[in-house]
Amino acid sequence: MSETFNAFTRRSFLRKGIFGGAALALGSLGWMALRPTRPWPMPEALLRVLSPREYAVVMALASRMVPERQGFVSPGTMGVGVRFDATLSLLPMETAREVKRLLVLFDNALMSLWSGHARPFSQLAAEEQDRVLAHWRDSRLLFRRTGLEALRKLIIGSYYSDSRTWASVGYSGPPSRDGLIPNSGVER
Amino acid sequence: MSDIDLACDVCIVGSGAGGAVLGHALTERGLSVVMLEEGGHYTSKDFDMREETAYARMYQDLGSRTTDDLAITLLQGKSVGGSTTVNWCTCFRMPDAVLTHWRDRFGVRTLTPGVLAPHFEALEAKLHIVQWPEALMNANNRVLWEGCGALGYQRELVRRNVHACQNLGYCGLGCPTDAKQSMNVTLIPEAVQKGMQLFPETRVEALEWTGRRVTKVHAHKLLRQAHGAQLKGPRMTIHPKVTAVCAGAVGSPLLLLRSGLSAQGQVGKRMFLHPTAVMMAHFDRPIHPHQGAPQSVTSHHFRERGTGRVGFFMETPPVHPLLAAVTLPGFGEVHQQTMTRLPYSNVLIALLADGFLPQEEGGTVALRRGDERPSLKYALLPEHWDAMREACKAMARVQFAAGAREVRSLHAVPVVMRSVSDIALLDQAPWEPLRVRVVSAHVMGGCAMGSVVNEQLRYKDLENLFVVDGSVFPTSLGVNPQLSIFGIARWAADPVREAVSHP
Repeated sequence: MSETFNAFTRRSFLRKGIFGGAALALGSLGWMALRPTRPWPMPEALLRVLSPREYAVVMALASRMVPERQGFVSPGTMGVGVRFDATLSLLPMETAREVKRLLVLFDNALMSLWSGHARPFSQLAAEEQDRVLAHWRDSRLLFRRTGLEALRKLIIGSYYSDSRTWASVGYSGPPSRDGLIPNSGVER
Repeated sequence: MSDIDLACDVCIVGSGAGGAVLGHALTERGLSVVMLEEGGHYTSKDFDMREETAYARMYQDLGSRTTDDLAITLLQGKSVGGSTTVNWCTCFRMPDAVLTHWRDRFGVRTLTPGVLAPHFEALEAKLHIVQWPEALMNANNRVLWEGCGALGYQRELVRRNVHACQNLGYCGLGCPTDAKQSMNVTLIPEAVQKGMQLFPETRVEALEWTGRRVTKVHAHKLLRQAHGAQLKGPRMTIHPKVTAVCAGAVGSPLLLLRSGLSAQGQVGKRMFLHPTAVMMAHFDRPIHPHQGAPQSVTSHHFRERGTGRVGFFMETPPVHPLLAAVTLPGFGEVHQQTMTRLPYSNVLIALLADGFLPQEEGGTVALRRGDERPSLKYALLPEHWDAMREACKAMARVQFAAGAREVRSLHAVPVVMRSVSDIALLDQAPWEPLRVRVVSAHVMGGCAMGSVVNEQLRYKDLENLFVVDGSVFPTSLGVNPQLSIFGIARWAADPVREAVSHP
């Protein structure tokens, strides 16, 4: 990795934060960005914000952040990418734009170099993807930890905002409104 | 030319703890009041007790407001009633020691315990603020109660603003039975009935001022699209005799800055957060931490930790699955396993009383160039990290004393403790931004008394502009701020009325 790239990312991200930095544009620069994202079947629902490539990165991330396992419905079945897209559509346009750039940056093979891979995140095997995620989480660079946290919150939030997760986590859901009688409190 | 033009005695921007109490008090005094609120107007019929509904409708940034580096998550309300609509009902009077500190360090002499007492008494009676009975304490709070009891730590029952509460535990999602005496069901409807004009979904763009007076408040209605996003609608112009900015500790400084009012660079400075550490414990018995009054016990045992150190106080949060999922660190199977143990989990929080050390300048609220989003920065100092670490150790001791089988920190790689002797592992853990979860539900400061507003809460450089909310606090409070904001807003009604009567 060139010193120029390293210096630029550190300077820009640390000064402005992941949501303020023009450095997010780096995600679309460099020859390694030309390495394609692994495609993901598009959902039936129309995406408002994400491109097919960005959607594929979201689904690749979701498949490791909320993996399908006993008791947990797969992120694909849960429609995590569509919910992610819907959430972005409600956030300020600038935030949505930065998240889109961050997704492209995250999948840039250049970023995977930190953890010893020269392929885009979406092209890696599951174990390799977990190592990349751990590298972002444990990075000494605040911008990488910030970037991962932004995507983590959106993906985990998209997954657990579906009531089909309630059974997985032993949550019985809110009480029926039928049983709620105003002014019949218990404290007096 | 605007689509709507209105004249009034007082224009209040924001309908939360400050704006609602002020609007009610001024309306009672016979003044004509226009209240503008950016968020929507929801009632108990709208409160379906589902997180995905509540965060999208009634929290700033869909519940995901953060500092710029995402290191601190900030929960702030956004609807008619502001944070009172979605808070956890905890009520403390402003501590005497805080008022003494403000007098000695910032020259704030108007606010004294004696001056504020009648206002607190009136509000406590009006809003049914009484101690929550121990017999109704939920299992999550009982961990704090019993753990503190076993260790000899100071503990007390919390006073709550509820009437005929059914002990459901959904306060943070909007009370479905109107038991919570939040502003949207108490003072705002009363004031509207007496003539106050309330405009929800109305965003104030800027205050127009000439010389030393605000002459117009420029706003526009927000139009909701089918998928929930909002567009700018008709323009509004208010022509008030006096303006009171009550938009909270982020919204108020931002509005002043958008209006070209910086108070010589002091607007947006001294933002304090009660930066909050979180600890999770697993028990063999069910806890169901989402059920029951969410916050009914507090411990101020560590509020004073000696010269040069930051104190903290311990409480409990409600633990609903979506908020838990995004607050718990990590991802993958480890995260899922932790989530499956929620019904047997207790969560404690420790809130740092920030702003009292000379070196604590606090965070900042600022505008971004070419961007409507606020820029929020807060650098945690070594003194804060020391308090965070000691707070996590204290919470772990409490949790083990109450019978926890395992305690986990909220580090990115959690510190897992299975006995009291493991608590020392926290000394080796990393205490840095985004290596351990830090949250806040109490944003204060940004328009501090002494530097931005005077002792009457009037903006220093203008004659008819007041700021009346938690943004005027020059430090944090060291207690949950709701009742303190109520109290100073009721007290501020007199200087505001005076400014209307004698311009």
